[in-house]
Amino acid sequence: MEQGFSRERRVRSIISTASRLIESTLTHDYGVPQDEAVRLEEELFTWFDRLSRRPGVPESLRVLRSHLISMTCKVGHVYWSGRVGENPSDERVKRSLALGPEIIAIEIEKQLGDDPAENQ
Amino acid sequence: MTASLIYFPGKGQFLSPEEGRKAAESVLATPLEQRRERCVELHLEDPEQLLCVSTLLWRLGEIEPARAFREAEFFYSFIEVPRRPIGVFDERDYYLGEFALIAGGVARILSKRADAKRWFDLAESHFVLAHNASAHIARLAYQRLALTLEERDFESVIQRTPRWVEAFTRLDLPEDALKCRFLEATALKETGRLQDAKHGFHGIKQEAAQKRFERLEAMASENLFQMHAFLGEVAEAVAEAGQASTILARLNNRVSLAKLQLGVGYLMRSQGNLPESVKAFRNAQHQFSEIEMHADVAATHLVLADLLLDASQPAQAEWEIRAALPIVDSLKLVPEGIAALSLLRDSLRRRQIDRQALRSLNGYFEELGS
Repeated sequence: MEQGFSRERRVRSIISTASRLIESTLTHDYGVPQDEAVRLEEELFTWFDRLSRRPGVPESLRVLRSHLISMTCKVGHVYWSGRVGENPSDERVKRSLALGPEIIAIEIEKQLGDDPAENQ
Repeated sequence: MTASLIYFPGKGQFLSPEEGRKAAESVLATPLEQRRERCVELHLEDPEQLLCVSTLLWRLGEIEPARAFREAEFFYSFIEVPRRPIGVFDERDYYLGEFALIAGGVARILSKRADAKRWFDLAESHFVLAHNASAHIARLAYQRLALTLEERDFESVIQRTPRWVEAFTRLDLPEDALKCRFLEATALKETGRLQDAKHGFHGIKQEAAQKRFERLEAMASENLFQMHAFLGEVAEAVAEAGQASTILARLNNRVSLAKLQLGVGYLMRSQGNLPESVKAFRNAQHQFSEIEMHADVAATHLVLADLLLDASQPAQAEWEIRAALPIVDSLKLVPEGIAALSLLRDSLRRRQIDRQALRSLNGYFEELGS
């Protein structure tokens, strides 16, 4: 029971810490329109809550958080892959797509720092 | 329910965690043949429910493995055909991989090794497409390692295990790392390196207790019990059995409870207490039969036959062997198993049981279900 509670606390803590950054990653790094970014953010949080309860997912805040950031970047990247024939004009978005989601995720994690608790 | 903070009520898309748990229990109580036509009412495509079902099926695998196998097979095929969109992002691939892994893992427990391999291959084909693939591939590697142990390729297990222990440690998955060490200790036990094995099980038990991995703690205790029993260390064996059975009963782990009972049989045998030994083996056999662990039922028949020969009861021993043979026939044996089986059959025809063939065949079976 206590374990379940602490898992939920961990998930909430990560979401509250990373929420603004997730939105900014989607809108600024990937150029996703605001309303679409809000919808994707909700889906990301729902997915992340379930992910945290899958087997094979560590309990540590740092690793859990990196899963959320990694999926956010994949979602941003796939957003453009699905828009056949459309190319972003924004240089920052072009850079994100050129570097790929793994590199962008690493950059974002660096911005957040090593200890997720410090960012609360 | 604090999880409502991250569930989005009003969207009407997915069940909440609490709703998912209740729905999962309800769907597992619904007969398999009714589910497809009632799939909307039962929320069968809901990712929250599928997550809860997969958690329940891992537990069911230790209580009713045959049923858990049928359930995992059902959920896999339900998601796969017709192709259903499940949840968001990687969830379809993840659930397909997870149900295939459960089916394979439970098939392994049921000694259906060809089925287990097929399901593991299917799980791999889905997990490589899911998020966190490296962790899931490592979980799959654990199952394959356990299968190698059951194929009695002990040296290969001893050689490969440390690499996976390190992989799980680096993936920050300590419980899975301990499970790998468990396989290594079992392989050491099987190859007669008893002190190393004992040391290994003690270490696992201690670490599992510290980290509150109750199931692993109980299973380490169960193995220590078997080792003490084998070595005739009665007091230590009894103490370990007591600790293991308390936890296993609490977890309703029927597979391990049946194996514990088997260990009691060996302990009684080592003490020369034939009636109590036969009683314990029959109890274990009854429990294996209830949970459809047929290979273990057959193996126990062979152990009983050996015991009855010791007691100069060849007619009863012959009956035990004859009861085991149809089950043995239905299982796919490796060449050593086939050779021992053939020798045993010949000796039965001569009404003179070949003790060596009986023991070889029994040795082959002993670890099938562990």
